[in-house]
Amino acid sequence: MEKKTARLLKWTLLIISFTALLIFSIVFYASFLSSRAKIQNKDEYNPADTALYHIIITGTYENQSFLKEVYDGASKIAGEYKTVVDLHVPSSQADKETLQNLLDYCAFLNADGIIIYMDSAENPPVLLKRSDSPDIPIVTTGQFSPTMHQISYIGTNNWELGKKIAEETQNYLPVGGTVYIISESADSNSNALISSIQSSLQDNQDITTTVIEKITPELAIEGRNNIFISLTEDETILSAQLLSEQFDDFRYKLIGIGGNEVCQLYLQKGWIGELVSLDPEKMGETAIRELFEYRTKGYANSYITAEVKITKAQR
Amino acid sequence: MKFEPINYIRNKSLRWRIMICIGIAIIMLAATLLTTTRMSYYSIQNLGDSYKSNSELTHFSQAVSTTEKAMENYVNYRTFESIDAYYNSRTKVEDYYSSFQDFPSKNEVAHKEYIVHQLTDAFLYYSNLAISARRANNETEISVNYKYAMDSYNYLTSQILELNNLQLQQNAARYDENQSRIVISNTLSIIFFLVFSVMIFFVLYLTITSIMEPLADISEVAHKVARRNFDVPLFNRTTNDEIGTICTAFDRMIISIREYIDTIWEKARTEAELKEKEIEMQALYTDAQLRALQNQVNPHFLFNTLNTGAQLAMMENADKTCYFIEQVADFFRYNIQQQQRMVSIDEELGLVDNFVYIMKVRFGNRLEFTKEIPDGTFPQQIPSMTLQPLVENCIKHGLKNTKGKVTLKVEIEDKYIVISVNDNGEGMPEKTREAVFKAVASETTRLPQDVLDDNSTHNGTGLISVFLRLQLQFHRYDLFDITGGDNGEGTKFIIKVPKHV
Repeated sequence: MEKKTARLLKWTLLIISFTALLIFSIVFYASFLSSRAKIQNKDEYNPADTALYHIIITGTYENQSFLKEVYDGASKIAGEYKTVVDLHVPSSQADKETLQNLLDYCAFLNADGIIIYMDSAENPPVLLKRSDSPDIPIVTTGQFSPTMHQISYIGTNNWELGKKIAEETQNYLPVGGTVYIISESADSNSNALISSIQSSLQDNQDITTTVIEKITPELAIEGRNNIFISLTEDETILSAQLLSEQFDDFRYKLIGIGGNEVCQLYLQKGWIGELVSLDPEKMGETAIRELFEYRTKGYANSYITAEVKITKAQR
Repeated sequence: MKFEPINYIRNKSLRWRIMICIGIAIIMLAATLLTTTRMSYYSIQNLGDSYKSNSELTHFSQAVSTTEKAMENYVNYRTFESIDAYYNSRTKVEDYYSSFQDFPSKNEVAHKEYIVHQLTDAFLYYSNLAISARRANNETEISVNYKYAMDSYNYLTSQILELNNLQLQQNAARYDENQSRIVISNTLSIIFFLVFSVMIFFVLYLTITSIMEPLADISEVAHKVARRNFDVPLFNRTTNDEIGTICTAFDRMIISIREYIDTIWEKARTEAELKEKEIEMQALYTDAQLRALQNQVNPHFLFNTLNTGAQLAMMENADKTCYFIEQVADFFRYNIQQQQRMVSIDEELGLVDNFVYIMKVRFGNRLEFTKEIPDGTFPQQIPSMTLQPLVENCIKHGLKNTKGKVTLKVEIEDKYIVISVNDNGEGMPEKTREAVFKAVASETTRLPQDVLDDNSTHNGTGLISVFLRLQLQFHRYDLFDITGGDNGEGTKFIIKVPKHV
């Protein structure tokens, strides 16, 4: 009886072991081998990656850094709208594609929306229209062009920007000093900005404000409490170069408006003390929202104030 | 009924189990081979298709170029061939680009495909407008649309190039990945094959073990039996396979051998007993022969002596003495001559008369002998010296009284002649009686010592011999009996002789 039981036990153990081995082999084959050995050649894209809308951000090479940040901002919320955002800017400075060419490219792609940086208010590009598709909504930034066919313009509120610059200036001059506002152009935007800065600083009796057209070799400054304020990106770059050549860097601070790569480089070098720029990421987000508001409601805010971003030099 | 797979398998024949085992092995190997072949085929086939998308894109690019050339030719020269070529190549382009991604995607390659799709769409749109304007000879429209068509074409070619590069990178990566997958696949196939081989080995081991184990047991038991050790356990295997059949046959063989050995032992024991009896009988026979020789020697002398005595008695006119001596001589003569012979009842009765006369002369009035014999003769054959020992026994026990009374009766019954001899002695004890019948049944001529009387000079041999000879003569056991006497005293010997003998 004992021998019979032992034999039965042995057989049972052997059969259980065999079954376990068999199941292990099948599981091994099914889960490991098949998944590892499967060859993929077809372009089987993940359906989850597919979006419904396509929005292109474009502009000239000079604005690529700014547009890159706009693109980053737009991309942050693109997923909420099932949208893919593309940044279409020339790949190098040698690539002299005009804004019209860039816009044509966007039109050829028949995008669902275009965010374009306008370098100039004059001679705006014309959007191509196709008879087999609706007009493409455009959001502009940079310079406002009234003749441009656009649903929204995202720009600056010069009065608020002037107040912001004045605040920053006072922070640099706690004991007072001289402020030089560099403004070569006499357009309405610059005038409004200068007025706002002067108005904000006039309450402080220790600060003297002077408006100059440009920095000349004859310009002389006293002491260390001197602040230069440039009101355009080009003037900021030029002023940074001239000031760094003309004065020791501890005698002045340059507060400039702009955000391009040169400005960023000068900020790193310390030639620019503080950069005041529009917040491009916020602009990107705002532009996407406006485009989809237009798409759903049929209208959008024609003028949107961009938020201001301040970047200080590290040294 | 509960299904028990182990018993089910064990009940199957060895051939079935071996065939199933081989079948499983073949299935496993076939599965391995099929899997390996299938995967190799799949891998090789797909590996060759790694750059298929590039090839297709090149064809698409060629079709786009052909379309552009045809449009250009038509716009410039307005030939039938060019418009025909335009539509032909346009159809090809449409066939290709319809398979492209038609929605934007987060995937870089898919999105580039979408851009190519959209630019192709724009190119076809403006090229078609340029063609239409050329047909209408609208120079302004021709110029504008041709420009847009060429712009979109230029963008398209550059994007196709980019897409081609992307796909090339992707396909190169895939090719490398697929190559490594093939290596993995082959390695895993080998592992899988090894696992299957182990499993096959396992199955074979189980099957062979299940076959060989009982055979080893059988072999062990067979060796024991060969060494004449029959005290081996039975297999009691209930399976229906060949091993079960062998075990059953082996069990039966063991049982048969044991029974045979028991029979041989019984036979040997019986033969030993018979041998012992034969030796005993031989001794008795030798003793009897010796006695007979002695008797054969002595009777001549005895007869001559008795005859001389009888003549002497006749010469002296002693008639009674002469008669007595003649009776004695007749008795001894009969006694010697009739041994080993069959005689009639009448002859036996005559001998009894001789014997009683001698006894009467010896004991005188102390002996009273009565005969009750019906008229007629009794020729029925019985062994000689049957009645005389009974009468002698009765006289012996009857004379233990003051007067011994012995009665001899012959009665004719339905099928038997019943002869009874009765005495007035103290009767035979039941123990002795049973011992007598037991000795007759076992064909021994001596009574056990504990049965015999201390005063007895006889050992019952004569009485047992009478019954034995009757038994041997008639092959029956119911022809003699010993009962109590007629008057409730003494012993009565009864002999039944079949009438027709």
